[in-house]
Amino acid sequence: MIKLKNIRKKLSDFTINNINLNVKKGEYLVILGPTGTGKTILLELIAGLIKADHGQIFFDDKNVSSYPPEDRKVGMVYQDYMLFPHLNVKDNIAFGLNIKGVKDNKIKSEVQDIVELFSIDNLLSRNVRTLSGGEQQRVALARALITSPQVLLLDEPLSALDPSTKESFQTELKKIHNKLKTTTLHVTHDFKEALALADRIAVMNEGKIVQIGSADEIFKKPANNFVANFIDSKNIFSVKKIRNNVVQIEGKNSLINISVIGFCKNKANIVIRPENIIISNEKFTSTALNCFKGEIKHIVDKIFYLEVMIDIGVEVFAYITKQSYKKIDIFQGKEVYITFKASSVHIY
Amino acid sequence: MIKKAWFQLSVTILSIILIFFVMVPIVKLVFGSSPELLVNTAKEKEVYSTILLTFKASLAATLLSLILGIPLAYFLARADFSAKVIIEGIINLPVIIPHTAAGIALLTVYGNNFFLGKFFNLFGISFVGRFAGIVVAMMFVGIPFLLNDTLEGFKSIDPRLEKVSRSLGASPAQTFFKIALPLNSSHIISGSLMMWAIGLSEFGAVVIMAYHPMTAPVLIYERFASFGLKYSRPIAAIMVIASLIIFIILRLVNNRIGMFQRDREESL
Repeated sequence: MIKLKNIRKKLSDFTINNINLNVKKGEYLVILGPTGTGKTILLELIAGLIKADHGQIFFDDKNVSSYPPEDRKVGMVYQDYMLFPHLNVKDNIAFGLNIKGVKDNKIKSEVQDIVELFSIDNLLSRNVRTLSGGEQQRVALARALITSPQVLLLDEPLSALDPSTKESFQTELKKIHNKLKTTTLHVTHDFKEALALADRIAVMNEGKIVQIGSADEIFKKPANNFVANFIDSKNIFSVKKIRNNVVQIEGKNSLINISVIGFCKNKANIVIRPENIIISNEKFTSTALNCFKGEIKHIVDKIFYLEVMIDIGVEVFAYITKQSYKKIDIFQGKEVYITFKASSVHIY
Repeated sequence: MIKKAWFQLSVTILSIILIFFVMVPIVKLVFGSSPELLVNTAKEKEVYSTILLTFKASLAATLLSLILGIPLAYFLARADFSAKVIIEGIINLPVIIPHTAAGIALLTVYGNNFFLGKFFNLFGISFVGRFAGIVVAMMFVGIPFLLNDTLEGFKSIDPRLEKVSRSLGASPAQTFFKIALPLNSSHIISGSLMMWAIGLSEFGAVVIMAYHPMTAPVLIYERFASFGLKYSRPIAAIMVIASLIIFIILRLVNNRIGMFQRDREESL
């Protein structure tokens, strides 16, 4: 549906570098990355609001690189909604249809359909300045979707909402996408938001897409240190290969051998998700190949779970439930064992 | 506590001095002539036709400047190029040069023997001693006030509003007329009022381009130079009263638009 081929754009203090991206028809793709990494510029390049220095953009195999924004049929929603302040809700929503010269009765019925979809039919005559953040967000989305765009571009659409509104709007956004199936590119810096909404996630850093895949792939198999750190992987270590399926971490006072599965270069990095680590009071026999003795350095209450840091020569983080915490009776300074499977270790 | 009182007292006294400085001569001017004298002076054909001409010329200068100035202000607000600062500086030149010098400069371009003067002569338009000359002089000295306000207004509009408009199918022209222009209306009106006011009071540049037909400031000067204070004061008072009435009405209209504009800015 959308294909970006070798897109490059140099701005005064920033460069979008050789972006290649394929978005399937009806897909919900989240572009994830820290602030200032070029996500918004990428959306504006797709919308035609900025012209690329190099590369091509295709919509349904049609090269739209030279098309002005008004001919690209995109819907754009910015972080702070950008409702036209001199128009009321109805005129904001109808703007795109009015511009196209659609007849009044058709506009009326289209507006009615879209406001019912977003449950904002009671706001039509309201001044946009009097709307809450959530209401503004709905109006902005309704305005973008009423023209049936080929692609919907959402620039941090949830970041200005309070946490409870954000959560309910996230669900609503997913529901509306499932109903309309509009191809959507959603930019965010919030990994949880990406997990909740995305069919696929493209991670961006310094103007480049550094990894693209399903939420599960990004979460379990980060492609590099940046992605691993950005999704808060916690246990990231530089290793050297000892022999096939064994790598070594240089600890503070010792060398720690870790069993792994799969190809490993002589020098690599590994990441072990904290939720894949089991803490026990005694060493136990299992199929897991990695078992180490260590001391609990600290325990942090994260409301729904506990984060435990264990020193096994290097600091390793594990997440445990509150029930497990009570069951095994752990505390700071206690000696425990940690166990994890070789398959839980991701090498990159 | 004493320091605070001193500060507040100083601010109050200095403010009162300034208000008196501006108000006293105007009040003295307006109330210095009897109402009968003001009415009789206003009935003089030369006086009322001159005041009318002044208002008309300033209005024409403002309207022409709107047509030429709004596109330039929009361009300067949106475009990004190195010579922008230079252009903004050039626009403000008429503010810093003496207005008589501005009049001389205009005469060397629009005079009957100079290139633009000759060019417009081909279409039957001449400037020296003509209504068109007064308009050109008023435009020259007043346009920075219109342009600066309009430019400031366009700069204050978030460009993303225009980007959304474009993504919704609007062309650059539709975006300008449906988004940028209505959102900048308050600044444009305010700049226009300012420019019109500057035009009404302009003497230096106008007197060099066109001593005749006389504008109100030129007539006031002529009466003062020929007959003294007694004969110039009533015309000056009538001009002040007429300007005040019109400006109060226009400001009231503009304030209503301004209230909307401020609300908009708060909502952004």
